[in-house]
Amino acid sequence: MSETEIDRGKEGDKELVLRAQNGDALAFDELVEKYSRKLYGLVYHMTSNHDDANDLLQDVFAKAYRSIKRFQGRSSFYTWIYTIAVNMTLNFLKKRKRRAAMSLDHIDSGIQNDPAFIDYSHRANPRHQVGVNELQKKLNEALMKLSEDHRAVVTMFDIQGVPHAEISKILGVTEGTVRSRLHYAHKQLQAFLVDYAP
Amino acid sequence: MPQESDQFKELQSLLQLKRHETPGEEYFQKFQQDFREVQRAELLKRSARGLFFERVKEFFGAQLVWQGAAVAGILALLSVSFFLGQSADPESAVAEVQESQEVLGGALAYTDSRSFGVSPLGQYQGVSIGEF
Repeated sequence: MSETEIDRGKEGDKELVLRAQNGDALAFDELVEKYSRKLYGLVYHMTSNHDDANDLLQDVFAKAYRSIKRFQGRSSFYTWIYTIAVNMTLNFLKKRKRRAAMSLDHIDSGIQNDPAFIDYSHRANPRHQVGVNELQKKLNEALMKLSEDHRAVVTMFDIQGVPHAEISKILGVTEGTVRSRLHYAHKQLQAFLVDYAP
Repeated sequence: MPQESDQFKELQSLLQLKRHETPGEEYFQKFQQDFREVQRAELLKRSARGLFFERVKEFFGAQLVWQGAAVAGILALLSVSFFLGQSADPESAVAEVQESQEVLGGALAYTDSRSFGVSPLGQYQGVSIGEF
C-alpha cells in the first residue's frame, strides 16, 4: 500500500463520511466494505486469532459508526479508523495477556504460488524445506513473542505496507519512534526466525 | 549503516507471506451482512427510543399548564399550613388565652357593677326567670 494509494483512497472517503454523518447508513456500509479487509488483516495479525479478529472488527466498526458524527476530519478517515482499530486491539491484548491464540485455518491458496514461499520451501538446506502450515506457525510464534506495541508496528509496516509517516499518525508517536520500534522488532524476529531469514 | 529495508530484506519478504493469511471473500460478505444487520437493529432501537422520548415530551408539554397550576396550588397550601403551624405554637397560644381572659375579666367587672353583684350566669338566669 503506497502513499499514493492511501491518498487516493482518502479523497473518496470524504464524501462517504459526510453522507454517513448525515445519517446515510449505506454510505457507512461502503466504508465498511472498503476497509474490512485491511482492518481484518491488522487485527488478525496482531491477535493471531480469527475469532478474536472477527469480534474485534465488529466492535471497531460499531464504535466508528457511533462516533462518526464526532469525527471532525482533522485526520483522514483511514487514519481515524486505523487508530480506533489499533487502540481497541491493544486494549484487548492487554486483557488477554498471553493466552494461546493460534488460528491456522485461514490461509488462502495464493501462498503456494508466492515466489517468496517457493523460495523458502525449495532451498537446498533441508532445514528450510517447510510446509505452509509450519511456516505460518513459526511466523505467528515469532510475532507473538514481540510486545504488543512492536507487533503493531511490524503488522502495519511489514505485512500491510503502511508508510512510517502514517503509522506515526495512527499511533500518535514520532516517526523516529516508529523506526526505532521497527528496528528492535526486526532484530528480535530475525533471532527467532534464524533458520528462515538469516 | 544499511537501510532498514536492506538489512532485513529477507525477513520482510518472509513476513509479507502473512498477507496470504486471509479468509475468503465469502467471509467478508458475511461479515458486512452481519454488521449491516447489527447496524440496522441499533438504528431501529434508537428510533424507537427517540419516538418514546418524543411522546413523553409531547404528553408533558400538553400537561404543562395543568402541572403549573397544580404546583402553584400545592405551594399555596404549603405556605398557608406553614403560617398556621407557626401561630399554633403552644407558647403563643397560652399568651393568647391569657390575653382573652384579661379582656373577659374586664368585661365581667363592668357587668358586675351594672347587675348589683349577680354573676353573669345568675343575672342571665334571673332575667330569664323574671321574664317567665
